[in-house]
Amino acid sequence: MTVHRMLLDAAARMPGAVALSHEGRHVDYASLVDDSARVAGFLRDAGVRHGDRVALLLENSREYVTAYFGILRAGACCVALNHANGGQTQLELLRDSGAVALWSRDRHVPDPACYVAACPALRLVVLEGTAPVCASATGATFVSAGNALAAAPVTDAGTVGPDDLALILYTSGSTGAPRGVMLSHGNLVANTHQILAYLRLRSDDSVCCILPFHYSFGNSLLLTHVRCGGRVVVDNRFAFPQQVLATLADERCTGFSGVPSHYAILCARTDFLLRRHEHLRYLTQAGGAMSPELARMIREALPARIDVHVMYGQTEASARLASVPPDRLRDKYGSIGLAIPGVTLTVRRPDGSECDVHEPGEIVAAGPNVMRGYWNAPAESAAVLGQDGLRTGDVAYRDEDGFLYVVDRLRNMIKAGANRVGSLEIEATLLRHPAVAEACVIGVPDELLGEAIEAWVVPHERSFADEKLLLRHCALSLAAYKMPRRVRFVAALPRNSAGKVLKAALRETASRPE
Amino acid sequence: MELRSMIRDFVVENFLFGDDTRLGSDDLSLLDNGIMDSLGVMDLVAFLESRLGLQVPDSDLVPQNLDSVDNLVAYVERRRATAA
Repeated sequence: MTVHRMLLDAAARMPGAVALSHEGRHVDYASLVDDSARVAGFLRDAGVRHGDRVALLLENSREYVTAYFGILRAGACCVALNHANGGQTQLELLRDSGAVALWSRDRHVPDPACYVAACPALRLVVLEGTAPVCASATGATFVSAGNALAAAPVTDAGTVGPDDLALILYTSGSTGAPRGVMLSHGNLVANTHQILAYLRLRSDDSVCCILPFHYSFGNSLLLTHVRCGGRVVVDNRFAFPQQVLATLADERCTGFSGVPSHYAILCARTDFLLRRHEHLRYLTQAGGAMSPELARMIREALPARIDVHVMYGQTEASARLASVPPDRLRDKYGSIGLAIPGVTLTVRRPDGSECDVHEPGEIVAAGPNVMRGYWNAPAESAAVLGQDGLRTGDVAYRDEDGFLYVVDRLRNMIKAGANRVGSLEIEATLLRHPAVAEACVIGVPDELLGEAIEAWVVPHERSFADEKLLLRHCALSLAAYKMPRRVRFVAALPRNSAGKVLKAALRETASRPE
Repeated sequence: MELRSMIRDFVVENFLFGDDTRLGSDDLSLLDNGIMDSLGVMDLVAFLESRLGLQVPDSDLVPQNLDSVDNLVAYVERRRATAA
């Protein structure tokens, strides 16, 4: 089974069923199959071959879904990029992935020729919107997506199998630089089936999707609904949460999915908890620990017929690893739940032996959904993929019923809203400013984001730096979601006898009231 | 200070850390161009309420009111006219 086979199966069963709704427009399964075959035909004609990487840089839309399945049907691997990244990061990821083609929109790629010049492997740029006008001297081809869709459809690239790479998703690495998580067709199909085994989605289900498809949680919403012949209702305007609630009601969505900060904002700024949500059957939450208080507030306020699924996962596991059965949520607030069907989760000591009940250790995950490794990073892959499975870097304990509770993280990661952010990347950015002698970046508790990014800086003597100056410096190279919410200035950072910065001590100081 | 300048200054100071070269024209979508995110909208509402004395009901949190400097100016003027 391959990822695109799931689309073809759904279309064969229910060609006229709506697969995707966005801003009042509806696309059925047959149209997605037809359009993605044209994308695949165009890419094959343009020389894209089995195993090539094709970068996809689009917001959630019909165009994203069409290109995504088209890339897979051409036998290529999709590199899904985050349009919130700055241009410099985009170029670094394109170079790292070795993508031969980029499928995007005019406003995300203001200067396509510059991308081609900076990425030696890139030889094809397809843009939605205005047709790209570029000098042919670059040797690359620039095409509008409209022209690309006029290509003759391909019949499927028959050589694609479960072991082939389907998707590379970039995530913050423990060394600071983003790492490409390699997911095979087999990984993604397995996780889709594992999720369906506990969510029990049906063809009459439709999810209101505010999570980007380039994010593993968003990708899993797309694939699970395609697998069961359901419908994904795209709404990219969560900044205006009341509008999302209107979409939820108007489109009669049966599901809603978000990370803790989405739920915190819905509860704080809208009448989410007061509504009856007539059509809603379930909520899912992943992407970081939801506070027990918030989970309780939602569970108690919403009608009992709406299942609330608190879940846990990692991009490295395709998406999902654990979930709390909805009927146990009231007893288990604060838990990330039990392993989902087909996944094994163990809690291990540093020597690899298994921890006792209530003894904290690292969560290690095994299952067919665990990634193939990090792209171009064998040392980092070997560090997390051991014989027992994927070392998640999350420290947890098990209670007597087997439910897991995350208590800490081993690596220098901050979970700000939906995003996992490596502190080392932000520290390195701060240290590039001439006024900064030392920098340490930590996550501090935040009511809405779960964790907010806070930078602690020791300035050079006789140099001038204020918070705004450093934030402006950071904004030049960091994506908005990686920006510190606050910069604090200190004379020295707390260190142990070996000179290592004591981040835990800093986090404690930071959470104390001033 | 003129209303438009106050709003521009708020956006530049709070979302762009003083770098006004990224704001461009007043009809630019703050969301689509990555200038403001969902938390930014909440900061913006706090600004409208505390500095401009407006009460912003949840039902007014729509892009037509808040997603560009032009939309913000028009929204504030409309609200002030209704209140007068």
